[in-house]
Amino acid sequence: MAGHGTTHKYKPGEVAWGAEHHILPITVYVKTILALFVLMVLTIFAAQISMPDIHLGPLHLPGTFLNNIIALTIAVVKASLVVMFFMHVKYSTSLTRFWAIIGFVWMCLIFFILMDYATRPLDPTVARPWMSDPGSALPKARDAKQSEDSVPTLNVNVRPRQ
Amino acid sequence: MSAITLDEHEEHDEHHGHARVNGVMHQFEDIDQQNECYAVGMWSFLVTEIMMFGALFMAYTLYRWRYADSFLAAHQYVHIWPGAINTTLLLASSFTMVLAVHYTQLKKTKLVLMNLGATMFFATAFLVVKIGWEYIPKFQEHLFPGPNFVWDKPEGSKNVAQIFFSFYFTMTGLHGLHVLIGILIIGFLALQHKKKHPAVHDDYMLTEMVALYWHFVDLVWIFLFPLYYLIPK
Repeated sequence: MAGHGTTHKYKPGEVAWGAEHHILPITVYVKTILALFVLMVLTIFAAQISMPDIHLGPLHLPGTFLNNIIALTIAVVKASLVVMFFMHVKYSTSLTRFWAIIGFVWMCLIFFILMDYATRPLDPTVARPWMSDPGSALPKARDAKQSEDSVPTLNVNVRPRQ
Repeated sequence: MSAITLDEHEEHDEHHGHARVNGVMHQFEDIDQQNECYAVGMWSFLVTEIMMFGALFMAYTLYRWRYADSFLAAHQYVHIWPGAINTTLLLASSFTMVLAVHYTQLKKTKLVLMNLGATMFFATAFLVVKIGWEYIPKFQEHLFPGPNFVWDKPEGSKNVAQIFFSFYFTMTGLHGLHVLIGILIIGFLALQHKKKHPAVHDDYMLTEMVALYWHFVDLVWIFLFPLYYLIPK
């Protein structure tokens, strides 16, 4: 069950129980932390640059989209380095790997909720002159019937504020 | 599967009364199975932690997507320097923590204690920067959501700025609580190492479990940092 890249110069008894096949050379950790520091500096610099807008045929995306993609890609790479080398998942058994992956599968599943928010007839973002409370839920369909400056007669979801 | 023979060293753990044969507790086949069991148990706990933080990250994503402009305006009050310094501190603490595991495997108690001490030092420095440099100035600037929240900026909505700072204090606060708990656990672990308690001196997996928790705290911060401190203009 010895992991890849582990050293085999230790005998049972002189190290902790079961550790003889799981001791990594210290250079693995040094390389990991150096990579993490470099990536951290990189993500700070990347965030200072305003990326150009993307125009790919019918697809138009603001430059901030690219900025966010870069920042989160670097974050995912940093997280993978920590999980693989510091948390020893690269050197662990398949069952441990399975459990480690399950957590991140859950993260992906929970973000599927955003599909619901993108398509449901409730839009919490509508801000109108009569409505000083962006953050309240408001049915999209009802909003569509009104003009920009009309005052709604029925105000179910919106609690007016000063 | 190595057969356990009678002449192998048998040690009775007086704290639990269970016999361990060469470190293996009676319900396990061998030490590798036992250590895998530790790791799977700890990862199960970490999955529940991912679920808890995951819900917050999802809610944050939703609101930032909906109120991009106001989130950008509110984010100007979250300064990059304390964030960058805290990232450095947490990454460094993860490094010293993994070294503590490495030296536990080698049974070098002195180096273990040094590295655990360094981890606790970096973690405490993280909390000092977080509270002294970030939380207290925000309280003084009336940026804590609630009746005393003040937003006199032309850009951004006051209500959305309150939502932003609610997320900020909830997520960094919950993370800070994990850091605080981590410091206490690592302190307790260091105490056991100092006493050379067999549960941590001969069995490196307990230190490894604490390290897994600590690296998880680091993982959360790796995502919190770009999301709160590096919102693009």
